[in-house]
Amino acid sequence: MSIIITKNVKKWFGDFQALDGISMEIKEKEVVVICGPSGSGKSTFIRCINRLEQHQEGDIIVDGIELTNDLKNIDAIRSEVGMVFQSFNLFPHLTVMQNITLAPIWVRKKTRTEAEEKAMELLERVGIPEQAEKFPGQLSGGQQQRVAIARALAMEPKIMLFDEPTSALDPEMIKEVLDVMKELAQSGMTMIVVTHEMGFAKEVCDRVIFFDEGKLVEENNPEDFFNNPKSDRTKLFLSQIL
Amino acid sequence: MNDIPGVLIFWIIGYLIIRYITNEKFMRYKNYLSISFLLITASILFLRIPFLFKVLTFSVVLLLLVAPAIANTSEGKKNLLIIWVVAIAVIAFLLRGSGSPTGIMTPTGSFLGGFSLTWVLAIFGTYVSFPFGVILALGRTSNLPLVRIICTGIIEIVRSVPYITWLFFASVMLTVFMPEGIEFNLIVRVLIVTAFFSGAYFAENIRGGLQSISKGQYEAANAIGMNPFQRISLIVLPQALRAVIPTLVGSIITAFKDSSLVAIIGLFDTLRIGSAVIPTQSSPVNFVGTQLDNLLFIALFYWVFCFIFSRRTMKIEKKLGLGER
Repeated sequence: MSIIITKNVKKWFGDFQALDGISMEIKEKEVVVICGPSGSGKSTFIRCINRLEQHQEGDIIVDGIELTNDLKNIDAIRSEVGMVFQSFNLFPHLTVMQNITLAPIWVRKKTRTEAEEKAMELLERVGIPEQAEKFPGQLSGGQQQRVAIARALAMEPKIMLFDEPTSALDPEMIKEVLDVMKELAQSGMTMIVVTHEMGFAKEVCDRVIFFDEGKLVEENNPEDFFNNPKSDRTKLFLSQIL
Repeated sequence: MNDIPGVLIFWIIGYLIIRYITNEKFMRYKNYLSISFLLITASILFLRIPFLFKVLTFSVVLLLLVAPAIANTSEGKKNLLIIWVVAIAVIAFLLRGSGSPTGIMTPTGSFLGGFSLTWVLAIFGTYVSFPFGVILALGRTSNLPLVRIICTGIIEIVRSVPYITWLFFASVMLTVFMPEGIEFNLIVRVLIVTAFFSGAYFAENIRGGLQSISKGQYEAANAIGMNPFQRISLIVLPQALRAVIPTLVGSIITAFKDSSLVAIIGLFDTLRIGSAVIPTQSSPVNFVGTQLDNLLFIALFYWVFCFIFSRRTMKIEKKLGLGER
């Protein structure tokens, strides 16, 4: 049962082709890591899945809903897909609690008490319940990213997208974010993670996908991907980063 | 005071909005409510009802715009309610009898003069032009070409003509453009051009704030499923306005002082009253040379108000600065 299906997705930024015919399927509860050199289109691809970028050719079907220009479909997909950004993108004028409860209250139309209870639960899950009344600017990078994960989870999404969640963090904070992501993966969330954390890929994910120059170069289970990759390009990439 | 029942109704409307603005059922219809109130306001401009109620209806629109951001805690609700009750009372007091024969008339045939005129022009000028400026700024940054062109056009045209020209426009020309049978008080006409003029300046200030909001904020709002209205009113505007508080205060102080220019079109504001109170030479006592005293006093008056204003804002800025970015 595939929850995300993409068929021959293409996208251009001006003359530059960012995505060149990406076709893939992701099953429910699967954890997929997308890696590749910078500029290879991996971020663009996951941003297409919740329509932060618009693809120009091909089809994207998320949980049976086709992504078209129909605003209803886009809203429906966005409320099922949570996203975590490289630069956190928390709302600086709101407290941690307000950041998390904003969408449940305004988009899901929950009551405030309900939303706050859920938010507290999530903050405990990501390990920072004591920070609820602080502003994002008062937290460390790792804490901010964990709040961002809690904010995405507050919408009770079926799928979580992670766009280089640890790239903007200090080394000692990467672990605390990865731990939260691991716990999330083990709880059965469908996840697509764009990351350079190969440790995370080896340990947690079900499948690794390698992008280069807008093309899907290799799709493999983590063991084979790291130990005997199929393509030469992958070999080169791995030799450079490991 | 035949306005009292009307004012009471507006108090109650405001109370209900503040009380229920964060209620889920209410939120579902909030957009429609704001838009219908805006349409009502636009249409009652041309109706023959007291000026006071036109202003009050406009206040309701303003309240609907700001309430979700402020009234999301019980403390915020309480504060907003106090502000609302006081503001409506002050408005009603200042505009009492406007447009009705019971109003107090100054020699120029207008119901206001001196300090109350300066006050009305400064406060209502800001009050009306601020939301207008927000709308123009949003329009100018809109993705829709037609909206963008119209808003940019309004801003550029209004800003490139001096304020005094607009005041003459208000006093001489505006009635010509009105449909037959509709006549506004001169002060109302001045308020209309002030709304456009300060609005255009506000719009440019606010646009600066809008541009300071990173793309990531829009993306985050989109990713959690917010619609454009929620994105603007809950995420973008609160941050943009906060970023431009100092320049906005500058504009408001300018508007306050510029209000003295209405003396040129024959309205008796504080400055003009200052010289008008001096008896003419036919009086038995010689007052020649005493004008300086009055002018000094009026200068002090303006300074005190501007000073209080900028001190207040510094406090607000400090308070809002907490946990910012």
